[in-house]
Formats: sequence, C-alpha cells, structure tokens
Amino acid sequence: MAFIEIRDVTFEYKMATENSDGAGSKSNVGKSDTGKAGSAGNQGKTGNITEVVGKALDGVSLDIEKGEFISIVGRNGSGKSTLAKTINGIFMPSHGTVSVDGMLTSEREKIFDIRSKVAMVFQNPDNQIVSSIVEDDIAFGPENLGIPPVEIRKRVDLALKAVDMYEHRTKAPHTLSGGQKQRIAIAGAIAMMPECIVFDEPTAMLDPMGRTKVLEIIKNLNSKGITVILITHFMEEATQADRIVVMDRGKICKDLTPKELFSDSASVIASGLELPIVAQLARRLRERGIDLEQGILTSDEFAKSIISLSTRRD
Amino acid sequence: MIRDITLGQYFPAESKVHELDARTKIIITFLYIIETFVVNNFLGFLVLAIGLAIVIGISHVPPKFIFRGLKVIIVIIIFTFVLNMFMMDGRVLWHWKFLTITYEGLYRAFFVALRLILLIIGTSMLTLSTKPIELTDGFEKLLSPLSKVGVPSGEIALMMSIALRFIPTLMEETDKIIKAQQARGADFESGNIIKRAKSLIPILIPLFISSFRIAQDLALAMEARCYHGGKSRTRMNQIAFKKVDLIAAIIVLIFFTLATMTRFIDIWHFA
Amino acid sequence: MYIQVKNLNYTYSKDFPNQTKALDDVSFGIEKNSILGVAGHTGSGKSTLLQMLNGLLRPDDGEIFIGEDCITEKDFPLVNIRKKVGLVFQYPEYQLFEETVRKDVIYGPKNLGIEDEKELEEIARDAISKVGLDYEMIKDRSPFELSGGQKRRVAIAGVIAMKPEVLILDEPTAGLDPESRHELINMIQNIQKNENIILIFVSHNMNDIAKLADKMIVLDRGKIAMEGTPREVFEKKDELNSIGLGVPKVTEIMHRISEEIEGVKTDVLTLDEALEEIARVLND
Repeated sequence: MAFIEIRDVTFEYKMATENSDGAGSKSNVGKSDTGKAGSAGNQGKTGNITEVVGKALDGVSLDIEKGEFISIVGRNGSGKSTLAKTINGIFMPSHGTVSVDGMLTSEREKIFDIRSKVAMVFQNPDNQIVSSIVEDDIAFGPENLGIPPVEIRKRVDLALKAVDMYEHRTKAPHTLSGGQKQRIAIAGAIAMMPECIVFDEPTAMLDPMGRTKVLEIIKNLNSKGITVILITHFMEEATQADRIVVMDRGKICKDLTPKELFSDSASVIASGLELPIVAQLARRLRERGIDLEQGILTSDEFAKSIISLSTRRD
Repeated sequence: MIRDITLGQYFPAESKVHELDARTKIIITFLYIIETFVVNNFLGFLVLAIGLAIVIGISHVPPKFIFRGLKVIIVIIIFTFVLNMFMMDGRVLWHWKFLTITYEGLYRAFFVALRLILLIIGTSMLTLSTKPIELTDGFEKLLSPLSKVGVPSGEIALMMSIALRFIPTLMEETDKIIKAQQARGADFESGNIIKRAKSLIPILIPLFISSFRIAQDLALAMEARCYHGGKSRTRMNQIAFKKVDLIAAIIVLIFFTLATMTRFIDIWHFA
Repeated sequence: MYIQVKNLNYTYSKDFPNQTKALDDVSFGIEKNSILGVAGHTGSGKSTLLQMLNGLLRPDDGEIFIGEDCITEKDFPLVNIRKKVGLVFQYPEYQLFEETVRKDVIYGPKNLGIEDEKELEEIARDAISKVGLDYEMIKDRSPFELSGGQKRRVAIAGVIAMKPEVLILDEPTAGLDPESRHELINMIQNIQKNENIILIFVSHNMNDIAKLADKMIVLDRGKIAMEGTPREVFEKKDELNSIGLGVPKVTEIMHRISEEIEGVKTDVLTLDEALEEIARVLND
C-alpha cells in the first residue's frame, strides 16, 4: 500500500459562466473542510448567465510512496492546486477517495492526524503567516496539535534552523523579503514534523535568489526522507523531482521521470508547458542530425555530451 | 506615506517596559485611560506626562517613532482644538464677525488637545512595547474567566492577533492600489466632497477583493496547520507575573495617586 | 536619448533608524522606439525608479527628461506625466474595479479628460484588441469572472488605452504558466513594434530580457551596477553572479562548454545563436 493513494478522484464545482480557458480557475468555490461532496458554493446567478458544473479534477488516480519527490505541472487551471488540496483533506472530492498512510480523508475524526502528516506551503507567503512574530507563527501548527510548550520551543528552533532563519526569529514577518517569508512558512510546516510536505507553487512570487534558496531547502528536506510534492510552473524546478505528473483539464495526462517526459517534446508543448532550455537545445541539435543522447536535462549533462561528441570527432 | 503609520505597531527593543507581563501593561493602560479623564487640571497632566516620559525613556522606543504615530491623528487633534477654542463662552480675547475666542475656550482647547495627545501616546506605548502575540495572550488570560460563561476568549484573542498581523499587509496593499490607480490618472485630491468620495471607489473595491482573497488564503493555511478552534490548543509562550510587574504596578499607582490628588490643589484656579 | 535620467537620489524614511537609500545617483538614457530591460533584486531600487518615471515619487534630487519635458520639475502637471508614461504594476489584475471590462479600460482615458463617448468606445475597442482579446465578446463582462491571464490583459489594456509614449511593465509575466508567459511576451513585443513606443520592463527572467531588450540596466542596492546591450551585460557573467543574478540559460550553457573546449563563443543570447555555435564547434 502506497503512502498516499488517490483513487479516481473527481472534484466538481459550479461556476457562473463558461470559462474560456477550460476548467479550473475557480476551483476553490467554498469547498473546504466542512463542505460536502458536490455542494459547491453559491454561484447561482440570474439573467443570461448560465450555471455550469465544471470538473477541476476528473477521475484522478495517483500513488505516492514515502520519501518520493514528485512535481505536478500543468497550465493555470489544470487542477494541480485542487489535487494538492485534496491530499490533506482541505478539499473533499466529489467522488473517489484519498488516503494517507492508510487513513481516508473522509474520516473526519482522523483529519488532524492526516494534516500533521501532510503539511502544506502555499503560493503567497504573506497570506499564510498568522502571527506578527516569526517564531510565534512557526509555533502555530504545533500549538494546534496540543504539543507541550517545552517541546514546541524545541521544534520551533529546529525548524528555524532548517530554513536558515534562526537569527530572524523575533522579527515581524512584514519586515522580511518574500523569500524569507516563504522560508518562515516552510518552517511552520516543518514544525509539525510531517512526513510529507505539499508545496503549492512556493516560488511563483519570489525573485531568483529567493527561488533558489527555497528550492534548495525543498531538496534538502527530501534528502532527509520527507516526501515532497511540488507544484510549479518552472520546468527547471520540476526536473529536480524523481517523477513529474502532468495535468491537463483535470486529468493526469503524463506520469513520467523528467528524462522520459522531456524526451517527448510534442506532448509537453501540447500540455501548455515548455521544455527546459537544455532540452530545447538538445532537440534542435538532434533535428539537425547531431547524435545527442536522449534525456539531457541539466547544463552539465549537456556540456558533457557536447564535449564527448567533439572529442570523438577529433 | 501610509507606511509611516506607527499607531498600533510593535517596536522591538529590549527594555524593562517590554519585559513586563502583558496583563500588567493592559491593566495599567486601562487605569491610565481612566486617569486622563479623572485629571481635571494641567498640573495633573504634567504628572502624567512626566510619568509617560519616564516610561518612554525606559522603553528605548525612539520618541521620533512615537510622534510619527501622532501625525495620522493630527487632523482630529486640530479639529477638536479649533472646535473647543470657538465654542466656549467667557472672557473675550479676540473677536471677528461670528468668531470669538475666549480665555476659557483657549484653556479648554489646550486641555482637550493635551488629553487626546496623552491618551494616544500612552495607549500606543502599550502596543509599541508589547508583542501583538503577548498582547492578545494577555487579553486571552484576562478574559479567560469569562470563557466559563461562554465567551470564546481564545478565538477572540486569535482574531485580534490576526488583525494586528495583517495591518501592515493591508496598508501595503492599499498603498499599491492607490499608486496603481494614480498611474491611471486618478486624482484623489481635487473636487468637492462627493467627487472625492467617488474617487475612492477604485481603491475600495480592489482593497475589498484583496481582503477577501487574503482571508480565504489564510483560512486554508490555518486549516492546513490543523487549526480547529481553541479546544485542546497549547501555547508555546507561557506567561507569569514577575517581580518587575509588582514594582511597575506600585510606581504607576503612585503616579496615578499624585495625578488624582492634583484635583484638590487649587493653583490653576480660574472663574 | 529621448528619455534622460540624471543623477536620481532617493532615501526612504529619512532621519529614522530604518532609513534606506533606495536610489543612489542613478543616471541612464533610453533611445526613442527602443526596449529597456531592468534587472535587479527585490529592494534593489527598481520599483522606486519605475514610480519616479511615472511621477508617483519625486526624487530627493536629480532630473528625468522625457523629450523636452523635465517631469521632475515641481510644477510639471502630473496629468501630463500620466499621458506620457503608462505604468503597469506587478499583478495589475488586482487593480480592476469596474462592473464591466469596457468601463475599467476607459477609467484611465476618462481621468485624462476624454469625455466623448464615441471616442472612449474607440479607445476601449482598440486597447482591448491590442492585448489580444475579442472586444465584442468581453466588453460587457465583469472583469472578475475572467481567467487570471485574461484579467492581466485587461489591466494592461487599461494602461495602453491612455496611449502613453512610454510603457513601463513591472514583471508582467509573474505567476503565469509557461504558455501564457510566451503569449504575453509576444503581445508586449508586438505592441511596442506597432506603436513605436518606448518600452521599459522589469524582469527576473534573463531569457526574456535577452530576447526583448535593446538595452538593459542592472540595479544593485540603489545603484546602476551594469548598463549596456544584453550582449555586453551578459558577457560579464561573474559580475552578475556576484550580485546574485544570472545570465540567460543558453549563455550559461555556452560558458559551461567553453570551460572544456577552447575557442567557444560565450556571447550567445538566443537558442539559434547557440545552435550555430555548437554546430560550428562540432563541425570544426
């Protein structure tokens, strides 16, 4: 049995009008914790606007093993974020089941066990920090879990060090940069001692320095055995994962290793994605008849194979 | 600029004032507010002002920072000042058409303005020297006897702390929206009142939407971090009264007694 | 130079402990009908600079000339700056507020004093089609029910509708998926070409700067750290790295190859140039 099992999950929501770019951007209509399956929001409107039932997720099944690092990619509105939020029971699927370590998210009495096993970091660093003091914010999760104060203190210090923000522990979040705030949010997740962390576009609002640092922390967490689910628009980030899941219109259309995925450039582009620059270069060279090996993804690999090609010709 | 508003903000520093238990500071502030209304003469205000100056001195909060907070409400102070100045009958000092300034009016105007300033500086010392979290923890503890009669003190405290947390965020957001609309030629400074009020719509609607977005995001983030109300929740920071609290309380009470006693000293007498 | 920025200085929170020098003697120029890329970290002074170009902030000292006009002059009317310079902030969709897309787009032009309904209608039609949306389909819809990418286009149309000579975009592609990002970049490029305007854009994406910009400046802690054509700037890879910025991915790759193979050109900015160079190296 896999650590996380997503079985045939469909997530329906109502929306006021036909959305021209497909299902999705309104997927979070009032469907939270207490929302029952299929009873999404109050979007009923009058006039010529019709009510449509959209599917943010449409029969999605996925297994994730302990310690894995998977990326979920796809267009805006492809259902990535909705999928992520069903994993820890923030959204409840209209049909299908999600289980974490054998516990179903539909068993409401286990929901806090699930959420302490699967923590989550969101896109906007500002909107997920609850306290005006860094360390108090990190304590928020453990406090909710009813951990004794001394133990919370230990966890907070550990979490702060893990994201390299210990020296900023007494600062006010609004005085920090976006990247630093996001590290605080990650520390808040770490302090819950989860086995898995879901990152929902954690770098989308950061500058390159903040982005690099956050990705470094994510990789580091994974190397310590934490299962990582990373949703991202940046293909260079996605290639860091063991496995990339491509979503389109609420369905999983690819579930491959980075090497496999980016060898099939046509389907990558068809899903609204782009090839990493290295892969684009390699593909164009192959089209010109240069005999490059498949599955080159990093500058290093690319440089090496060019070098070996050039020495072979010498 | 909007970011300059220091009212309600915390100023991180290490001082005896910062060290006090939030509950002590809340009670003292509460008594202080009452005291500013009990006092009925300038001498009493002098006592309070000296006390306040000492507190500011000990607190290591730069006075500049404190006075910047006053800037925001300067309009209110001037308004009450002017209102009081012209609205009192008594010995005429100056007269022009329907405007009359009397000795009593001027006295009253200064008096009320001073009261307002003392009130604002005094209460802002509470927020400046107390971490918002400690403040809300303090409130929570002070309110906790009420939880037995069904007052959700934990939730109220969390609500307050989140409100405090998002003041700077919303200020920034407002600043951004104002600038974005100004870049589209918006003019908030000219025209009559109706036109000006209308010109606020392009700010208020986006701000409203942003607030909802933030609230929604935050609710999800809190859920993801296992928030489920105050039940079985523990707290990292445990608070306890210390010796310094007792000393502070005694000193403050002496000042308050002195200030109150000035009611009975008749040196600033006027008819 | 059509735009001349001369010795701009600006300090935030003067005389307070958190005083910071946001701009430190910043000078540069921009030619007519060209594209300037601006790179730099959060806090490098970028957004201060953009706001000054739009008259939202006044420098402590220094001047900005646009054509003959000195817009930093105290009595230079703000409305004239806004006519000349259109500024699109980061995540501009958050400033939408009207009931319909059409009304939102003409908010700017109305503020500039255009009142004739017919003219406004034309302006809205023109601006919305320039951002690649179907005017008839979208004009009466609420901006709030559009998709994220559409909202952003409508917001940009709201600035284009003011017909600026200079269009400034602060990270126009932030948060978009790869497909929308490409579309938006192409759209911006087309607008610049067709309107013959000056385009200034801030981006963290060096690939985009390399693709679009005729000239670029790099800001670091309030100073202009580097200035020149992208080719000139990206040649100084180490200098860029030392301020925490990078070069376009293809440039990086060529640098990597040149470490091993002698005589490989590294001043390569586009995929096509890289292809040529690699092919040359392999066929040598």
